[in-house]
Amino acid sequence: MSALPAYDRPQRVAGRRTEPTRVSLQRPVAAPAPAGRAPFVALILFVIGAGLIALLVLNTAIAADSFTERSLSQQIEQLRLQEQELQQEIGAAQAPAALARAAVEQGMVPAGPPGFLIVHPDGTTQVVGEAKPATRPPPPARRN
Amino acid sequence: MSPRRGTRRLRLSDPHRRVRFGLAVVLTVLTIIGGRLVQLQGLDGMKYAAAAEELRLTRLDLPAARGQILDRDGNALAYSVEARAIFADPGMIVAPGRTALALAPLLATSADALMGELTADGRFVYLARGLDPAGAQAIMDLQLAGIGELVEQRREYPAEWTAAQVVGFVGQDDTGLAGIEDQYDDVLTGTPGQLVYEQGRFGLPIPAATHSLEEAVPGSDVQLTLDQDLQFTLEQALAVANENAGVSSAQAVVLDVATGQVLAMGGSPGYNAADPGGVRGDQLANPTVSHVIEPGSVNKMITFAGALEEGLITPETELTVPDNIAVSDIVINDAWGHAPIHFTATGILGKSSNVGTVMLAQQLGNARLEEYLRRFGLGTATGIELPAESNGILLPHEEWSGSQAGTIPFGQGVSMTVLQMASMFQAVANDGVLVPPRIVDQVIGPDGTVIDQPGSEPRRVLEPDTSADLRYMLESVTNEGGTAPLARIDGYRVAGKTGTAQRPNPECRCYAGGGYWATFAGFAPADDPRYVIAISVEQPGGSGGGGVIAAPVFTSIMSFALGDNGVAPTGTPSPEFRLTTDED
Repeated sequence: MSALPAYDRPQRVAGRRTEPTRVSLQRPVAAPAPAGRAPFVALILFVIGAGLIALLVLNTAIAADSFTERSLSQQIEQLRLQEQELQQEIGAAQAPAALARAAVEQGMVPAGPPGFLIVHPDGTTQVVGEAKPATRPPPPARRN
Repeated sequence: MSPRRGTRRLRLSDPHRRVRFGLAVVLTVLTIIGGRLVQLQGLDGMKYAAAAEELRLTRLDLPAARGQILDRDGNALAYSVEARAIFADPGMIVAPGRTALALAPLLATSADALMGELTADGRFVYLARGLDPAGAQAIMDLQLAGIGELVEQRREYPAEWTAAQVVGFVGQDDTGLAGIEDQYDDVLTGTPGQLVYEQGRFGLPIPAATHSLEEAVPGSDVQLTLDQDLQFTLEQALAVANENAGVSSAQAVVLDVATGQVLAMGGSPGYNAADPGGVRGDQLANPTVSHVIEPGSVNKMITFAGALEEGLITPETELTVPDNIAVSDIVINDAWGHAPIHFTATGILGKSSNVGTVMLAQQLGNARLEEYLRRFGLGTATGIELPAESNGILLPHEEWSGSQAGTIPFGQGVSMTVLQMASMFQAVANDGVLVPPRIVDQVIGPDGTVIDQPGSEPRRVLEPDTSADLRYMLESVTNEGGTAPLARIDGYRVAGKTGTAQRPNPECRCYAGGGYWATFAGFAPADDPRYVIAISVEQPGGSGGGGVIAAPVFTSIMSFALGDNGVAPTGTPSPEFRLTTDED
């Protein structure tokens, strides 16, 4: 807007062209715009309009993106909580007491002393210890 | 009336006065407005602009996750999850009755109890804490007036009872109250962050407006030297021991011989770290570091270490040992009556003769005995990274009574923690080098960097030859004629020492009726030690000795430790032990 008044005030331009002594006493008559000025004004108007529209589009896009971002981060949050829940389940199932309970439920018993097969550097092998099949009944399950 | 009227009319009709009056009024008003303008825009302008921005600004506290506590294999023993607290603002609740009825089923509580909280004075009351986010969402979906949610952290202890006494627990404000949670609170606690942004009408951040994010820095993780599976086995074994008649509690510690690291420690009855409120307050400690016991004959090991190191005896030295000996004002007896026996030094330890031990201690002298007791760490806390560690009780020898001088050599009149008991056997197993026990392996920063922990300073307490002789003598305990055949493990050579100590009766401050502590400390394999285990079983009403009560606990924990870690038997046979020279 601020650019427009310059074209509404042709008096200074006109004043420069005519005799200063005569014209200064009466209202100057607006000189007709030169032929090349109208397209220039149109161009400027177009640029301003286009700028405004671009700004509007950009603003809308940013606003739309912020909506998308919000919904995506909500989704991330939800998935994160879901992951946390699953991790908790795994943690609880991995606890030694839970494993022991699960093993007992499947009829497993603690292993007896293991035997060891020792491979010497020269390739000979030696059995150390005496592996015995587990027979011990499961220990009484403690605390639920 | 009329003259006044006339005067007034006359004055008002004066145009100059009127103009001047009007001007004055206008100027006054303009001055006030102008002054106010300067005040608002110039003097207080910044304040109002800030207040306006404040209305749009939203500050969101970002809670910092508390660090995890891990076992040596990286299994989480304690970690934090995001949770929700539900609160009420009683001042904003329109229909307390309807609100209570709607909330009761979701909060698993009674509407009556909720009514009390919803109608309380004040503007804030917690209704539930540590809720799962999904559960809290269900409550927020009801859109009840005056009910809100807060983001908070909840501590999870997936292993529950396992290692609870070591790990400890936190209070509702997430500060550690016991165990590692307490000791390493500063390390585990993170620094909360803050997100500041300008908010539009619908609560959305305004793009390209003020926006600052200060990320929360999570706390560091603490990795322990504990082995979760061994810890569970230890607690199971103690629980089984605890089922014996007359047993009130039992404690055990497993150390790695070469490093002094604690692989498992605990006492029964323990507690569930996820529900510490479920037991008496005095059961929330870690008894292996805070509870002292009189070790009984386990302590003879130090008397023999001193006598060997000073060159007073060899394992084969012969002594004629009667079944009693007078020391000061008391007579010390052996646990069984016998005619004088020609024991070897090995036999005195293997058979656990009090009289023979006292005879050796008299040769050693009180000053040197105290020196050896202190070398093995008695009377001084080990410095393990756990709260409330006890020093144990060991008086300077100048203050020993005559009878104490007679009983300390076999472990009465001196107190130690089970951890100290394990530590002194670790020195013997480790060729005479005592590595003070440690339980924190490393601290891992939030960015994954490992923060070095000051390790313990190993110190030599015995010459390697002396400790080799002592290991030989301790192996006789679990062999033919020794006091602890029950501590044997198929295929492995085991060395150790039993103890049966009288327990003071807290009611009479005397030993009568106090029951016993059955103790056992030992290591395996005897010729290439890997693990040390010390055990104490407290029996106020029982009378079982260490060889009967504590040795089987040792066996079940040690055989798991050896098998689970793939320690093969050394394959060498135990040497012959000559306990007496009488039969020859």
